[in-house]
Amino acid sequence: MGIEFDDAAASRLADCAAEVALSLRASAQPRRNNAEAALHDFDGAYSRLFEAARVTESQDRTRLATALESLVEQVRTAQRQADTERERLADVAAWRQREADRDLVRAGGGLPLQPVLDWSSSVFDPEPSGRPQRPSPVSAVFSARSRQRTGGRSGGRSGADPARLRKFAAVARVQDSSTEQDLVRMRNAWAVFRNRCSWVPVDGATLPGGFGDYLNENADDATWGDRIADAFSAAGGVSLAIATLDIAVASTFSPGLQRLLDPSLTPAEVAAAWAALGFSDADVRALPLTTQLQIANLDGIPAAQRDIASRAVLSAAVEDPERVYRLMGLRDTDGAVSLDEFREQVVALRDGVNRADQLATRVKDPSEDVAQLVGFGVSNGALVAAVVIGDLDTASNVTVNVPGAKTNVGGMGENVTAASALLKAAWRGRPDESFAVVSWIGYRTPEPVEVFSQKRAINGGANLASFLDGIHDSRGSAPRSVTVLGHSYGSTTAAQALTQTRYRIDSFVSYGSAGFTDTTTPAHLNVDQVYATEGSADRWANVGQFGRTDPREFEDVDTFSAEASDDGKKVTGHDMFPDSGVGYLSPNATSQHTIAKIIATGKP
Amino acid sequence: MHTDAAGLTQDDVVKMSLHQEFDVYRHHYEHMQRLLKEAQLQVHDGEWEWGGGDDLPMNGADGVAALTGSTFKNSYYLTSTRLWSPPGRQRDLQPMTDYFTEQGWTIQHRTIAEDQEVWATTGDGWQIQYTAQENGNNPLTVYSEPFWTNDSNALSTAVYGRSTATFPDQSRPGVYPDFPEWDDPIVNKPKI
Repeated sequence: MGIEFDDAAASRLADCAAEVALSLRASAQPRRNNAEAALHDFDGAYSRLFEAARVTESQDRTRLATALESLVEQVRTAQRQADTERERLADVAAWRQREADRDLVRAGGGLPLQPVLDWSSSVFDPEPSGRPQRPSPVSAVFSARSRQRTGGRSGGRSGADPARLRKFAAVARVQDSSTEQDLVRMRNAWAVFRNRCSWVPVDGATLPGGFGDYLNENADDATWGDRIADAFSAAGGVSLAIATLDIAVASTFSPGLQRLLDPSLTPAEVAAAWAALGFSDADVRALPLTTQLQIANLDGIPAAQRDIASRAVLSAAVEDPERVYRLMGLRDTDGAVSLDEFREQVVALRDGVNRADQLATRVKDPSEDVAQLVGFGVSNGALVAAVVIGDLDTASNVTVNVPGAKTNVGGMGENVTAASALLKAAWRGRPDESFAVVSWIGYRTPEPVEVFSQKRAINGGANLASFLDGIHDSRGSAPRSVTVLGHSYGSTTAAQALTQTRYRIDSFVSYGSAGFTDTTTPAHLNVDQVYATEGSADRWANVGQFGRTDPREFEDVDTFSAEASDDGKKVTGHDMFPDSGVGYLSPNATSQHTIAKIIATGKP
Repeated sequence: MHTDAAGLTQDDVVKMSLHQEFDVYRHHYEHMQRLLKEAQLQVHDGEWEWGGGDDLPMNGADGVAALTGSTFKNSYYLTSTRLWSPPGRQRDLQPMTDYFTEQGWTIQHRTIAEDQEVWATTGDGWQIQYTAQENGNNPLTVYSEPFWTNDSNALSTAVYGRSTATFPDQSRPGVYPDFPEWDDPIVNKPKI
C-alpha cells in the first residue's frame, strides 16, 4: 500500500513556481521603468493615484513572488517527506515478508526452536516503525490588493501626456501577457498537484486566484491609462478636472456632477452647480457622449460650453445616427421622429450649424464672430436645438426667435440665415452694440391640426422659460436687453413662456401670431413691452387664433405695420421666410426693419 | 421657367458645375462692389464703416424680390452694407435720389418710424437701399435679387472654404478684400 503522491507532479509544481517567481522578480525593474516614464508631465490627483497603483503593483509582485518561493520550499519538503514515508512503508512490507518466511520455519521446526527464533528476529530484524510519516500541510496563499482609480471627492485637476500613458498601457500589456502564460502554467501545475498528491494536506489555496486578481488589477491599470489618455487627447492635451477623469475611467460621477445632473434643478441651481464644478472647455470635450448629451441640454450652463457638448453630440449623430437615436431614447418614444427622419434632420442641422459658423465669421464688431449650438436633444419625441449667431455669453443685446408650426431642426439653415440678416439690420441701428440672435427650435412644434390646441405651447413654453432664465443665470452679467420674437404659434408658445420666467424680458415681438390665451395676456407676461404685427395678406394667423385672442387687440400691446410703408414691401403671406414673396423677416420687409429696430433700441 | 436675377433658369443652372457657379458668384460679388462704390461716392468719398463680411450667399427664398420656386437650398442673394455718419446728423437723401434717377432706376421712398429711406431697383437684378436714420447713421445696402443655385450650402462652403479675407472695419469706396479663386486652397473646413 503506497501513498497518493506523484513526485513528478510535485516537481512540476515546484519548478513552475520557482520559474514564475524568478520571472516576476526579473520583470520588476522594466515594469517600474515603464510606469515612471508615464509619470513624466503627469500631475495632480490622478498622478498620485497612478503612483500609488504603481507602488501597490510592485509590492504585490514581490509578495506574489515570495508566496511562490515559499510554495516551492513546501513542495520540496513534501517530496522529502513522501520519500521518507515511502521508505518506511517499503521497510514494513519487507519485514512483514521476512516475518512470514520465519513463520514458515517456525512451523517446520516445531515448538522447541520457537523461543530461539523469536529472540533472533527481535535482535537482528526488529519490526520497523508502524507510525506513518505525517506530511506537512502546503499553504499557497496570496491575495492581490485592489487599487484606487478614481479621485472621488478630491477636487482639483490633473494633466498628463496622453502619448506616455498610451505607451505605458501598451508596454504593460505586453509585460503582463507573458505573466498571464505563467499564471496558466501555475494553475495547471497546481491542479495536477492537488489531484495527484492528495497525501499532502493543503491549508490554503488562494494563490492561483490571487495571482489572477493581481493580473486583473494590472489589466485595469492599462485600461485606466488608455481611458485617461483618450480623455486628455479629447481635451487637447490640457489638464482636466478630477470629476471629468472619474467619469472617463469608471463612469463614476462625483457628488458635484451628480448634483449638476439632478433633473429637478432650476437654471440658477444648474449655474451654481456648474460654477462649483470648475469644468473647463477641455473637461466638456473629454466627457463621454452620454454626459455631453446631458450637458448640452442644461439651461444655466454657459453657451460656450453647451456649444462644445452639443457639437460633440451632433457630430456623433451624423457619424452614427442609430447610436445617438437610441441614446436619446427615441426608439422607445411613442410618436417620436423615425430613424429616417432623424438622419435627415441631423444632416440638415449639421449643414445649418456649418452655415451659421460661416455667417458668424462675417459679423461686425463688437458682436462676436462666433456661432454657438446651445442644445441638441429631444422634446416630446422631436429633435430640438438652438443656434446662436454671436456670443450668447457676452452679447449686450440678446434676441431669441421662436418659430411656429411645422418647424423642425432641419430648417435651421434658413433660420440662421435670417438671424444673420436680422443681426446685421440691428447693427445698422446700433453700430456700437454687440448682438446675439438665437434661432430657438427648442420644442415640438405643432402639426397644422394641433395649432388649435395649447398643448405644444405649454410644453414649449416651459422649455423656453428655462432657456431664457438660463441665459441670465449662466452669464456673469445680465444682457443690456433681451428681446423675444415669436412667429405664429411660436408667439403663443413664447407668451406661455413669459408667464413663467424669473427674469424680466425687455421686448416681446409677436408677428403673424396664432394668438394669446386668457392666461397669457400681456398683463400676465414678465415683459416690459409687447409688440405685435400681422400682415393684411397673412391669411393663416387669423385661422390659428381660433379660441385665442389676436395680441393686437390688447390695449397695452404696441402694434406696428407689416404693410408697405409708402411704396415699401409688405408681407405677402404668413411665412417667416417664404419660398416666394415677402416674409416677416425678409430683409426688405417693413416688419423686418421694425423688428431689427426694436432689437437695437427697444422701440419700433 | 422662372428666370433669376441673371436671366438664368433653374435648368440653365443645373448644367453648371460648382466651379462654374463659383466663378459666376465671384462675378456677382464684384459687380455688387462696383454698385456700392458708385453709390458711396455720390455722398461721401471718405471712410465708410463696414457692416461685416459680405462675401457669403444669403437665403434666396428670403430675398428682396420674389423668385417663384426658390428655396433656401436652391437660391441665394448677395448683400453688402456700408455706413457713414454725416456731420451734424444731416439727413439728406437728395444726392442719392438724384444719382438713382440719373441711372434710370426705379425709386421708392419710405419712412419707417423716424428713418427715411430711398430704395432703388436697377432693373437688372439689383436693389440699393440708402437710409437716413434718426440716430445720425446713414447705412447704404446693396442687395441682389435671387439667383438659382444647385446647392446654396455647397456654394457657401466653397466660398468660405477658400476665403482668407480679413474684412476691414472701415474703408474708402471701392476698397475690399480680394475674392478667392476656385484654385485657391481650402483653408476653412466645416467644424462638423
